[in-house]
Amino acid sequence: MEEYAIEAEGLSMVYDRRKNVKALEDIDLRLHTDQIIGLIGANGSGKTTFFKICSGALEATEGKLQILGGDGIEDLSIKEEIIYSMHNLPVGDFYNIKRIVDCYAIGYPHFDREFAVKLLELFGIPVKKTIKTLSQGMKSIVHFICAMATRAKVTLLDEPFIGIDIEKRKLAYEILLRDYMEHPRTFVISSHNLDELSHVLSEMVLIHDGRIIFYKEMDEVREMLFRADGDSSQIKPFADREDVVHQSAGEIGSFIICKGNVECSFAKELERAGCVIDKVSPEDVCVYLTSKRKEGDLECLWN
Amino acid sequence: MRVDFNRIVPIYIQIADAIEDDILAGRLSEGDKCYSQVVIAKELNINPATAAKGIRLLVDRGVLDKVRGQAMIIRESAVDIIKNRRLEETLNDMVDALVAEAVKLGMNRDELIERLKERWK
Repeated sequence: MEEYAIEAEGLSMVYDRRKNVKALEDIDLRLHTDQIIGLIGANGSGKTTFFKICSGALEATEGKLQILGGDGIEDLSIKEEIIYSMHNLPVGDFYNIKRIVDCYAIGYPHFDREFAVKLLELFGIPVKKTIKTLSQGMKSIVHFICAMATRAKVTLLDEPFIGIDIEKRKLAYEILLRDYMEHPRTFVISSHNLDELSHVLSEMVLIHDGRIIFYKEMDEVREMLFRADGDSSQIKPFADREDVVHQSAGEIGSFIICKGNVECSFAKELERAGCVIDKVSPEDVCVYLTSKRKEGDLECLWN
Repeated sequence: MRVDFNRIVPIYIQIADAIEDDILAGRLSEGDKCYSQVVIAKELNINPATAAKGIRLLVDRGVLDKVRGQAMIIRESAVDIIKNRRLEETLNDMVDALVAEAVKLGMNRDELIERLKERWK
């Protein structure tokens, strides 16, 4: 088995050469096989561009890309092991669900039609209806189900759970995990709902402005940053430390966000100074490491 | 077994601790097979890698033994091993926290000990 499902080296993507706007900039990434990997980033950070290049829908302007150790565009045996699916994949409006299942089945030799049909039934999706008549959430589910049923070794899911209600989202996470255990393969999933997804993922990539901020195991992400709360006199002496990534001073209390886990020596030092130490969730880690917001930036709105 | 995703304790450690609790409570006995990685992942709806990490931690703590293939067996001396480690680590941490809180509240040593005796039933 290949060690890496996706290997990108110096990958860049420029959509408009005149303006030289880089959607992806010099991406080096080696994603492990048989992991469930989150691709997390703000709107416009380059997630979809990355997916499209991996699936062969776009060609990178620079750099090298290998899928399962080979060429995902020229090599048919690899191409049929890559599925890229998104919530509003452009398919014919008047196709009924059965026909959409057929579309997915064509390119994928391991497509499990029986599994797809059972899942559609489980989610209560009528196969005779056209995709156009379904709600956004139902459309998402159809594409999610079809992508799962391909059992492709590299399954790329772009915002698969958008519009789906909480009960069905939870069902979808459970199906993803169980099918992954039955048929281990590599999933890369982009989502803006990391809080919900973080227990499903084993690893995650944070992408920001077309660059990779980190690629780590989820447990490492959970220990990347910690938070120290106290009054301003307790917090202030530490605010200029190198490991502080964010600070906030208020009337009720102040806090700083720092590098390290809740057990690290800096955390212990802050604890001795009377601060309360807490962990920072993966979702907040992403925000603190990429946020462009400035303190008080909303004040101008209501003055 | 219950894990709380919001707690400060990492999930894999919560899993290891919960299995230890089941051993101490007698729901699992020494020599029994431990819950498998797949069962834990399925029932808690978590990534199997996290479940595996919890099991691995129990192997490192000497509570589980890996025998032929994948089966994890609860070691014959598991109860003592768990009790010893918890006395050394968990209980000491709790006592430290208790003492720290008592100091914060202006209690002295004897008052805290008195309070402990009262509560001990």
